[in-house]
Amino acid sequence: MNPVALKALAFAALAIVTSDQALSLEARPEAPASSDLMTAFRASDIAEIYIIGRSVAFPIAPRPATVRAFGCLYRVPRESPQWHDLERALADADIRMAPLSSDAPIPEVRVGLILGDGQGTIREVYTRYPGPAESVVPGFSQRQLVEISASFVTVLESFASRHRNLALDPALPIPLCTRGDRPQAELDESARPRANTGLGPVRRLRAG
Amino acid sequence: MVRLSQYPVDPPPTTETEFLEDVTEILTGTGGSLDPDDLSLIMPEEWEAFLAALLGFVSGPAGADQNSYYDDHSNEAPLGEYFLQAWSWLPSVHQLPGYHYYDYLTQDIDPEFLEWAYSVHLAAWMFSDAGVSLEDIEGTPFQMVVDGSPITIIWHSGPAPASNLQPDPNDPDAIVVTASNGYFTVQPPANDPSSDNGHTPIATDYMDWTTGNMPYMPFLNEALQYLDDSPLALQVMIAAVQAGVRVVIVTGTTLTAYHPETNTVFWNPGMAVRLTNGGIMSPAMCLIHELAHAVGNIANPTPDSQYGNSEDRRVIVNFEQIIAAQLGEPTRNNHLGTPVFGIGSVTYHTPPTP
Repeated sequence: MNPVALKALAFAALAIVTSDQALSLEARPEAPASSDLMTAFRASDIAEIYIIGRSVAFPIAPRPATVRAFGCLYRVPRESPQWHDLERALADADIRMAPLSSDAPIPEVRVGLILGDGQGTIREVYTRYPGPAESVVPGFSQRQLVEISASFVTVLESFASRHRNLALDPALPIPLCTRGDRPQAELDESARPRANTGLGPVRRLRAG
Repeated sequence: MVRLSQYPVDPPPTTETEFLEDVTEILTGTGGSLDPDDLSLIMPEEWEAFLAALLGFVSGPAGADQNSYYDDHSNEAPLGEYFLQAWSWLPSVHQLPGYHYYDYLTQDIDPEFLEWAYSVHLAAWMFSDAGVSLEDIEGTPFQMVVDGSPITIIWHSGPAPASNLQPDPNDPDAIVVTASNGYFTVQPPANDPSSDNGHTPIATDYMDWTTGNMPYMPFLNEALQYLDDSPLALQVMIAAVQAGVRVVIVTGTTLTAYHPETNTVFWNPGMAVRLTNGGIMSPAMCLIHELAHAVGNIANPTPDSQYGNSEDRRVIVNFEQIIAAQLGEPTRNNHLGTPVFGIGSVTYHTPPTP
């Protein structure tokens, strides 16, 4: 059996463990589980969600840097009213991750979640959209190849659709994000195109 | 159509006097005259015959395809240098992007542009010097057909809104031709791929003629001309125009991309791709990759283990690999690679991978 198939089998086994068992995996950095992601979330002061549409095309497969540069950004500070909505959605989804072999194919990614505090990034997770029958999708967590519950993408997409007014456009000549029907006069700073510093969220958070 | 064979002009004229003599001969053959009073009475269809004759006159043998973007550059326009000297404003036209007026390989002025430019020149002469009241034609479109495409010339009195041969700020699709008592706005032939025998689209088919875009139009034109050597790329380019695709230039380290909701290709003329086999794919290939996405884009692509998703499989297998082979560029059988920025030529690429 090839390594990828073995990892898939391992993930399938992980997916049926109880929450107590999952908690026991928390100490193993190579196998972060739902509680691990939630621990990171609760330690964060800000969450950034990046979403590139399914049909947006590139000459090369999009990578995390592409997601940060081209994705619509939803920035959710802890003190914002949307924070608890995101926290509840992530907790309810019971999102799990399992490491993939380093020789697994590097996937394209289109959706990202970056958690940080005043000191920098706590957790970065990127993945792609799941196929019709996929319950897990490949991606990156802390720059390591992992398999992630497909519900991770569903949660972030749903959050984005509920809070379109938060969307920040990539720094491109024309806006790409859909923001819903909020009147232009009500658009605040968050609705303006964001500056693309090329630094990514890590340095922005540290600067803050 | 009157052709040069009916009006032998061998050797070609080398002075303005000789040129005017030859034009007179052509006009005589078409029933026209250089007399301004007569010129003012020429009907549009007679203008067309005259210009067709003039085109034959400057193009060389009948049937030679002198369109600088589509021909094989094996023929030449012998009067190119003469016109550069005789019409001092023509060199400045070279700076105007978006018009296929000049063949950078043969250094010849494109006769199709020449006939258009000459018609403007002649119209200006006729209207200003032939006793025709400018008030009579103020704001009235003067239409004519050139190479099957209509062009429209409108006279305006008063100061021109832009300098000679610059875009009309009130109508970006037209240019201003200044005259002594006013100016003309000239709508050039529309480049409609559905009716122009599949000619290569030009930059203005994808970009608005704005000040911000103008510096980049030569890059886009160069890429389109390069891609024209691939029959499949030509099909894609034409289909993309028909689909209303727009191109927006991005620079620096911004990736080339296609955004379906706005039907926009963000093209970085300085971005190539280093493939995993070591080859470098040109910025022009990145452009055609995205234009191919724009033609028949799958709304909800599914994951694909080899190409990332079903849409990129469709584009790479059905378009990119074939076009790259036709253009002598390296090919790939995945969707991987590393962007390379700061490429100095939109056509730069390495040889095909074995």
